[in-house]
Amino acid sequence: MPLISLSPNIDINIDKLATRLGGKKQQDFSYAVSEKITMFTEKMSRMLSPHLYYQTIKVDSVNNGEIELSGGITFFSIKLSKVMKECSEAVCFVATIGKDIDREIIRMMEQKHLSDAFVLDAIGSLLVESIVNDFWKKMKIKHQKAGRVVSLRFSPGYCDWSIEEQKKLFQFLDLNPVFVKLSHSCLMSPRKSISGIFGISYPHTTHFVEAYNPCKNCHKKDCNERRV
Amino acid sequence: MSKNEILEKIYFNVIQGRFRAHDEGIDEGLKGQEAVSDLVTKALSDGIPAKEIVVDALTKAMGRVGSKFETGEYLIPDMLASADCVGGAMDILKPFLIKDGVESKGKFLIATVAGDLHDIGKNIVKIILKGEGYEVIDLGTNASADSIIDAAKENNVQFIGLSALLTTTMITMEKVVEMSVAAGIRDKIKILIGGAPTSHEFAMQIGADAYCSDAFKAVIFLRQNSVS
Repeated sequence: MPLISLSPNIDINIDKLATRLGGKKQQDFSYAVSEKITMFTEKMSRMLSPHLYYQTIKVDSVNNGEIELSGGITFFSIKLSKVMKECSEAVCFVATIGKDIDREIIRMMEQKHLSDAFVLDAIGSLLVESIVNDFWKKMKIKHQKAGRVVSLRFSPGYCDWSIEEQKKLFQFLDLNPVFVKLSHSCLMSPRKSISGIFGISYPHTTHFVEAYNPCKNCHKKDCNERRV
Repeated sequence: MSKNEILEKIYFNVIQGRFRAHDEGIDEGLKGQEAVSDLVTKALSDGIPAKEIVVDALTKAMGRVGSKFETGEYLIPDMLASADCVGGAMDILKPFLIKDGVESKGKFLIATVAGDLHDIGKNIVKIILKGEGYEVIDLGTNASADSIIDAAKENNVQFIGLSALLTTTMITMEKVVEMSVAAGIRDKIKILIGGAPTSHEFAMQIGADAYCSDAFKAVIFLRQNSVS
């Protein structure tokens, strides 16, 4: 399975950070929050240990709500099946930024610096998100060159895809638990980790795969992961 | 410094989110100046009653912070910095309040349920309620239904607050409600739930008393529901 060790990249999308901190795009931060963002961004490079694991697998069939992958893995989700509808391959992945940030957040909370912990937690979430986005974009470009198209990515626990299905994803990826492990209740450790899947389709199906976005019809307007 | 000046300064520094002298404020240029910790200690040594410090400085300031948060002037970390100040001040004031015979508004047991280790949200609620004058008993994360009910009986609490961030762990919330009935304490306590996958519908379905989408909703519920 390809394992990518990434060099720490601390580019933070300030608009996305503002949203996670309870604000909006082009938000003015208070002096204290601005200072915290600067301080944590500087400290972050010493805390990050980013890794991404992925595996490409053949899609055997996609029916209404059922996605059968090669090797007998079946995922159940109406929305995921729409995303994967015309895909012949799937890429399963898990990304993490490592444990150090978890430890630092816990330390801050123990010292009753809840505000600091909240800002660092938000920055950590954005960084792991950006790792996955970068990976997805690279895969998209790579497949585009070969005339293929990749779908939007999807993670267990979002929309109608049960978080319990994450167990199948981890079983399939057979990860070394030193890097990322999954608890019985489907909590990933390190906490700043993301697992998911996206599909790859061939030229005759590109229009649908590229265009389909389940977020467009979703009522959960306050979702942090909304892609509209 | 007169009594009013000290109380005004405490009020100002809570709004600025400055507990210690080295803390930055919402506005630039305050680092190094006296902050809540020193000012509360000074107020007590000047003989200002602890209850007056709570009512005329801390509660008043937190009310102002709440308004600033509601209008979007303060983001979550700004509000938390102020809450951190109030929590820290209450730690200093607690023995004086007890000595003066000032009772807490009630005992609130809080926990993140079994299988779940997310605690930022729980800690936000904890610190806000502490600032509101409740005695908060924190069972931490990964708390089983048994341990929650045992602690509720042992401490004779009036409120239980349960947090979950995973759909897989929400079932413990239902167990707590059921076990509180079996233990004969259900009619003596109010059970509040919160966390991303929970909802008002889920709260009603499991027989909880309230779903709180954030810490301030919990405060509103508590103000309207005192248990004798």
